[in-house]
Amino acid sequence: MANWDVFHADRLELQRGLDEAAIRLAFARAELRDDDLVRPAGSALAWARLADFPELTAPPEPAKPPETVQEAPLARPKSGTRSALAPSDLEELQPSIEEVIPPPKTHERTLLPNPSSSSDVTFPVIEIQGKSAGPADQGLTATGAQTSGWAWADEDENSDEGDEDDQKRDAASAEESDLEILADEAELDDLPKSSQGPSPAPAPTTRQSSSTTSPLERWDAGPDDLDWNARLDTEPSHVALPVARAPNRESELTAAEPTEQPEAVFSLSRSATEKIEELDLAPMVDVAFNLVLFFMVTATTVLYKTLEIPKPSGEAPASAVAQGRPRSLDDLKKDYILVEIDEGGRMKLDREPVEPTMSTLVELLRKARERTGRTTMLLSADFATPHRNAVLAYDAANEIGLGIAIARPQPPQGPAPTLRPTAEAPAAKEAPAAPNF
Amino acid sequence: MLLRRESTEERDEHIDMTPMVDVVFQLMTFMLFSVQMSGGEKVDVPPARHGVGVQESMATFLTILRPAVPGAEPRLLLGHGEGASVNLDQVRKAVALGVKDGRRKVILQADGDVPHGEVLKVASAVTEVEGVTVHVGVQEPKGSR
Repeated sequence: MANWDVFHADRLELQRGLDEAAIRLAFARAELRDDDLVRPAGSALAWARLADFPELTAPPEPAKPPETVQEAPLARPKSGTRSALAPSDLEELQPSIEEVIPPPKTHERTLLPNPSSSSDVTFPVIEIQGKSAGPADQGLTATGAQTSGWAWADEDENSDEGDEDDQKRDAASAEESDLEILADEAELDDLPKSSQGPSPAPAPTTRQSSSTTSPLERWDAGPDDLDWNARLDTEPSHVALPVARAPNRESELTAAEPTEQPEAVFSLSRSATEKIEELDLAPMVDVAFNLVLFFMVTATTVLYKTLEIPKPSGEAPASAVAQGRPRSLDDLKKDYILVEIDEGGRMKLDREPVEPTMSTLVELLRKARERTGRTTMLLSADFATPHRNAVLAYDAANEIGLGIAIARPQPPQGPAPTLRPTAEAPAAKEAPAAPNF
Repeated sequence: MLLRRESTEERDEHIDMTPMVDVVFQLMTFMLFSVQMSGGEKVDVPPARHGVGVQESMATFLTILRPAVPGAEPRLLLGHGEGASVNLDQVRKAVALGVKDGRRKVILQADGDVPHGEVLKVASAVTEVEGVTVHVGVQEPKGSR
């Protein structure tokens, strides 16, 4: 009985020297899976999937004689699947097997290239000269060309993908992305084939010709195939497992090839690296700060232009009260630059009519100050004169820095001013704009 | 080539905020100046070259508007250009409250056509409150703007 090396694809562990019974038992206990790899013990042959060896995945039959165990796989049709086995046969051989071991998982069996082969070990092996064959592949080395016609069950997509993953792991190219495979496939004819190391290149070639050529013709060395002779001198050469792809992918690619642009594939890959869009908050913060500054400034710096005026006091000066009569304009003219404005807006400066303009009034006020040394302007405006005329006199006095005194006018109608004695009414008529301080 | 083109397109996707910020700044500048200039335009106060600026928060505003019909009494309002019509007693109370709040200045925003005697009458009433100074509102002469 041949021994096998088993590679657990899930745990990445290698077990050496297992016999078929142990493999079957482990497979029945689900310790081994279809995707695990096996090869003859002690050989440098390529790994093959466990599912491709139905004799290793068959239920263990410990009670049967050895010859019966060996005949069982041979008796089954090579090209059939496991489901093709009649359950009644198993029951006859081992009636209580279903009580001990659950029924094995059904999977598609790989089509064997040569159903009439006497060997019970069937996995792809490339014939290598000058190298001793393993103990269990005596017949395999002779039928290398035949086994090269390895056919994959196309409908088993899961197992195919598992093969692809396992092959990547063996080739230490786990970082290879699907994009690169697509690129290799699209540019398969343009890329030079490497003669060193395992390469998935033979797989597409095999698949492309599988529908039209025989298994023997598939492995005829073509211009794009590997140079097998170059491997004769190389030390333990191992042949990579053929890359099995989903059956629909190739058809889609070939169907879309005439219309699809090669750049489209690259553009898709570039779009995968998306940049995170971040909103730039700097302008918004700038605007917010400026708004805050705007409101702060406008809320505190709204200034109203004003002219400060003295209090138009209703009380008479102490001297006038003591004298018992109000001071006349002629008396006040000695201390103040007297400016009078009548109801119509006509102005008098020191009882002299002047033009009611800003420039004229400023000039005359300056001359009066220089001539007499008076520093205060007394404004005696009629009650009904417009307010702007009085403001003109205020502004002129401020122009040259004169002080301002305001004589409160007598209303045209109504009660007499408080400080004006009734006995002085005739005098008041003579000076209707007499100021009261 | 395709990669370079894509990177250029990504760069173009961003909205340039600079013109918008510039426009906002211009609007704010315009509003800043316009608000300052409109400080005394609610009342047609007389023009004057010289004057002092008084902050709004530091003063009590009284408005004297010319009568709607000739011969009628001028309207005295408590506030700047708008507010309730008040008499002199109410003016004194309002000014007294303003003094308690720290507003020791009274600005008489009198229309230029209001009789001068009416302005002085209100000013005399205001000065009865202790600690106030009276200002008459003016505006920049139109030719100087």
